[in-house]
Amino acid sequence: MAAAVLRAAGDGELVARLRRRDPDALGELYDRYGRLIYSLILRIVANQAIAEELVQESFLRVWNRSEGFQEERGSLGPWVLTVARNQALDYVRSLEGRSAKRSVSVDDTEPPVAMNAAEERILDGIQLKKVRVAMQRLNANHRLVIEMAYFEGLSQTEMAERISQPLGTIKTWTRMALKSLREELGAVAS
Amino acid sequence: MTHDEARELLELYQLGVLDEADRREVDEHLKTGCADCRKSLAGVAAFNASILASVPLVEPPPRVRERVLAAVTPPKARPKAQPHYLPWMAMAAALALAVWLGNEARVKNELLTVARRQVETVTKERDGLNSALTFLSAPETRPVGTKEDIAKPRGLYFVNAQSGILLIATNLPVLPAGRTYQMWLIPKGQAPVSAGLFKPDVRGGAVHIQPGAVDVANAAAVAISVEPEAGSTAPTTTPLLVTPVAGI
Repeated sequence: MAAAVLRAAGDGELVARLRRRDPDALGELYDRYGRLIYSLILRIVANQAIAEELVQESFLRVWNRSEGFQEERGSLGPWVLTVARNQALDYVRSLEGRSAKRSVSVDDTEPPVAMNAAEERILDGIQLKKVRVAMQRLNANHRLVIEMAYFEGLSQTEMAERISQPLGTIKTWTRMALKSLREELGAVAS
Repeated sequence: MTHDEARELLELYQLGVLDEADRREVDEHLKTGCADCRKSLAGVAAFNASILASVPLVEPPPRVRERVLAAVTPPKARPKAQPHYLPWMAMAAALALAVWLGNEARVKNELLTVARRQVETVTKERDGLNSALTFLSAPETRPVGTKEDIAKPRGLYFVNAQSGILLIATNLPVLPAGRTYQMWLIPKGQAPVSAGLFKPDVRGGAVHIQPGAVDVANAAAVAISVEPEAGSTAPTTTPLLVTPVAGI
């Protein structure tokens, strides 16, 4: 389904309309990424009502910050996804009394960094299937640390406390899991 | 921290989940101008995005899209809503307090908290009203001091010159297929005027409101009748629960 595709044709034109404050452009943005954003947020907060609230906040954040977006520098999808993850993790952290942390480089306060064509390939639908397969191939411990980092926003120290394992073990699992995923996905980032 | 060590941490660095000491070391490494790591950051962002995008897809309810668009649509283009000053004042107060505290996450959480409280309050009010209306429209409920046959159809009308007419009815006969109840306002010396269509629940209970101004001084009576599904311009069956307005 097209909703899973993070790199969509016409991102630049859509961004231009968002910057002109065209409400229909936000509707198109939602049609492209709404299901994915909702799915990600629901995965993180595990509450439908809260997820709905946070989806709305995420799209409004993108709407309010589209002025600073430079379409020639990268794709819209990763940026929208990062905004949504930050919103959801901020909510979960606030419930748990943890301090807020934000992802960097593609932070939602800045436009996304440039991605060349080869790097963007990882964001199309075919590659997403590969990601799902690669995630399933990880052993249970490796998958656990990846999920705690990506979907719970836990640091390695927090992971060690969460599952009562030595920090060194967590670091080893994380390193091996990421190495495996990079290899499976074509090592675009290596 | 060596280049290889820094490179191995770039995914977690980009995600913002590195422990503080590691994050500082990666920062220092990037400040040395490592072109390889800087170049890798873009790929790392794409890599991380693809992991996040691999979640099982769940279809959001249609109302989510509506809410997103409503938030950016100019008010004049939206249906006019009744003002709710107190909730907005509470929202504004929460927002002002949170801004003063200078924490963006706190702003969001304050707003969410206020919104949840509003939902809880509205839910409680709705539940209370539903309980009262269910009680009033139950066949076994009757006014104290009366000896009414509780099996007979009964109705209680309320009229408000500015707001309309409310009927709470019980024991209404089951409607044949393709039929509905219609409420009538009967002005003095004039033909009945429709006051809306309604259908009772399975126990014959109904709560029906016809909103709008009512000329109470010139109203003779209110009544209901059984009519075709689309309603009628005048009663076509013998009216039930005919009640003089003066007797309300």
